[in-house]
Formats: sequence, structure tokens, C-alpha cells
Amino acid sequence: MSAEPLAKLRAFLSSTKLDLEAERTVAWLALKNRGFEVVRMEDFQSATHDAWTECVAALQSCDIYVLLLGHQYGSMLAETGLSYTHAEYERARALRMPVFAFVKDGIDSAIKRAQDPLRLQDFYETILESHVVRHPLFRDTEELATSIWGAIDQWQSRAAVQRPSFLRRALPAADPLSSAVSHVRRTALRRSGFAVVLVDGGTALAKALPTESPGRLLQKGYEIRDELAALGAATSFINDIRAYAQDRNDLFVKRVELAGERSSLIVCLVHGRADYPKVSAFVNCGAQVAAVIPYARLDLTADDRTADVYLDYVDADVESCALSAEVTGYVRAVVDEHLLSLF
Amino acid sequence: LTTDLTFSQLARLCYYGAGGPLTIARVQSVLALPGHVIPSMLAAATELGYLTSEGGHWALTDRGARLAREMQEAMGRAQKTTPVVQPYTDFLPTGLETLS
Repeated sequence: MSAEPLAKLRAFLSSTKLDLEAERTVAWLALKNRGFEVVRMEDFQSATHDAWTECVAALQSCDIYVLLLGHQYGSMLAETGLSYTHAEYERARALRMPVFAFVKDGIDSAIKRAQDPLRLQDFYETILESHVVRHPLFRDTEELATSIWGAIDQWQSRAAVQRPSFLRRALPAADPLSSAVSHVRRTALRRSGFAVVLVDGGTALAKALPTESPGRLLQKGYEIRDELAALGAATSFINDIRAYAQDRNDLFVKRVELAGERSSLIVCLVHGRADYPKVSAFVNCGAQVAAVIPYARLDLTADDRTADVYLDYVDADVESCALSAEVTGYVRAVVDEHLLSLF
Repeated sequence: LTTDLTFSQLARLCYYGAGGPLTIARVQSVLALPGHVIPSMLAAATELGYLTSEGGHWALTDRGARLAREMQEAMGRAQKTTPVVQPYTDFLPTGLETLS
């Protein structure tokens, strides 16, 4: 077989234009950065046929469909009774193309102010029902680029399969540069002995969140642990503190000491008022202590604030991804600060 | 944190900085970030001692070169161990017709 250069995958970029110009540029750059040939309306040339015919032809030439949903429904296409963007989306579904949807933050409130709120709401709901949309929704172009890279990398690594020799295209399983950054981060963290201890208060679950199943917050703690481990930070998890504190007090004290000796950062997840004093056990044990607490619900005073850092949450954040995102975002910032001082 | 610079961005900056002086346009093209965030990233990397600024472009300091070397070693490893694979799509690969 000949060793001809392999074709690039083609991505169709679909969105309204006027309200998402900067986002379109960043999405175009982000997809090109991942090796895609990007098809977008900005590159269409003058032609004898109509714009929709051009869109359909362009869509049919592409391998994936990337949708940016902003706060406008967009200009209408008479033939379909849908906006150009919505019609492109429906056509991409009909073509069974992989769809990647990215939604701009604030859409819920923007729908009320949109020119065509019912259609925008309907389109948004269709997207949410049909695809996994990354939450939190993107707030700026940097978050959009990160979301696109994350989705594309995940798709390529999950969907990658070894095939026999008739392959049309070949792509790396993952971006070597991202792999290199992860490798350097992990190696540096290991060399410097950076470690995180995650502490789950472990009591008052039912009192704190009566509508929650008792395992929900514990599960959230495991999710956070896994995300921190993926970041390359050695992470251990202490839970069921009540048992240690009441029944085996000496063991609890020993664990606090060990946590202080062996970690750089201790993150305490606090759920109810009764859990809060346990944070104090970790203060002054030698590591930085961050308390993750529902501050407003616990009605704490300034005198109660003994930890080094406080991350506030409301109960609804436990239902969504917000709690995990805030904790991992904070730890990521601490890790980055540590890494920036290492070389 | 005093800067918005992430370690991932800094590592990439140093990696590309090892290949020649960094300009705003070059950084924008390799990192795929909006232009307005680049100057503050470069300023932060300079403030941290990884880059030095000179007449509109930036070069690596010794500290930046250390990180760049680690990145180059890791890149070599990543490229060597990355298997060549095919993303699966649920429609017929158009290259199949060339087999007939």
C-alpha cells in the first residue's frame, strides 16, 4: 500500500454568528489545534446556489458537527421553519454525525429576553436531552477552548479502536503535548512529595440534606478524589470520622497527625453544623486546611472560621457538578501554584 | 494565586520557547487562545522568572529552559509510546472505495 498523507478529519462549526464571533474564532483555533480541518460559514465563497444548499454540501463533507449554542436562536430558514443553526443540527443528526454541543452560560435567563424564546428553549431542551453537555457551561472563550479540547480528546481516546490495514485515517490516541504536560506535572508532584488529604465529615448527612440519600455526599467525595488523582496529586480520603472520633478517639487523633505529616493540603467537606468542629482538629496539624462548607445554612460567625481557606457551597451544588468543580478548581490552583515554584 | 497562568500554559510556553523566541502571534497560534489573554500570560511567566522580555519578544531564562527540557523529554516519550489508532465513526469510511 502507498504511504500517502492521511486525510484530516473535518469538523463543521455551527452557531449564530453576530453574538458569538469571538467564540467561533476560538472554536476554530481549538479544533485546528487538534488537527481538524474546520468548515465554517466565514470561509464560504460566492456561489450560484443558495446558502442552505451550500451548508448542506459542507455538512455532508464533514466527519463531526460542533455546535455553539449562545443566547439567540438565529436567523430563520424559510424552507424548514427553523433557524440555520437548528436546521444544520437536525441535518447533522440525520446524517448520523457525532455531535458535540457547547452551551454558553446564562442561557436560562437569556431565553426570556431572546427574540424567539420558545424556539430557543425548544432547541436548548433538545440539545440537553440528546447529548451530554459539559457543565458548568462555558463562560468565556478560554473555557470554551478547554471544553472543546476535553471533548475531542475524550472522543478520540474512547472511540479509538485498532483496525486492520485498510485504515483511511490515522490519528494519535491523545495529544502528545497534553500527555507530556501531564507527565511533567505528575513527576514534579511526586518528586516534591505533594499530597492531598480529603476529609468527609461523615455525619449529619440526613439532617443536612433530608431529601438526599445518605450516600450521595460520600459519593461526591469519591468523585472529587478521583478527579484529584487524575490531576496527578496523591490523594487519600478519610471518611466516617464520627466512628473514629467517638469510638476510637486515639485512632482519630493519630490519623489527624498523619494527615498533617504526610500532606500539603487537607480539604474538609462539611455537611452539617455538627460536623463543623471537626475541621478544628485538622487546623495547626502542619498542612494548609481548606473547609468546604454550606456557610449560609450553618450560620457561622467570624469566630468559627479557623481553617486557612473557606469554599462556600449551597445544597443545590451537591446535586449539580458545582461542588466537585469548585473543590477540584481550588486544588488545581494550589497544585499549579506549587508547581510554578518548582523549576 | 497572584497570576492567572496555569502550569499547563507555562509548560507549553516553555516548550515552544525552546524552539525560538516567543511573540504574541506565535503564542496565540500554538496555544489557540484569544489574543487579549496572551500578554498577561507572558507577563506572568516573566514575573515568575521563566521568561525574559526583550523588544517585543520573549525568550527562556535558565529556569524556563529547565522546564522546557523536562517537556522535551516527556514529549519524546509520549510520541514514542503513542499508538497509531483510528477513531471509530458510525458511517462508512470513504476510503473503502479505493479497495475495489
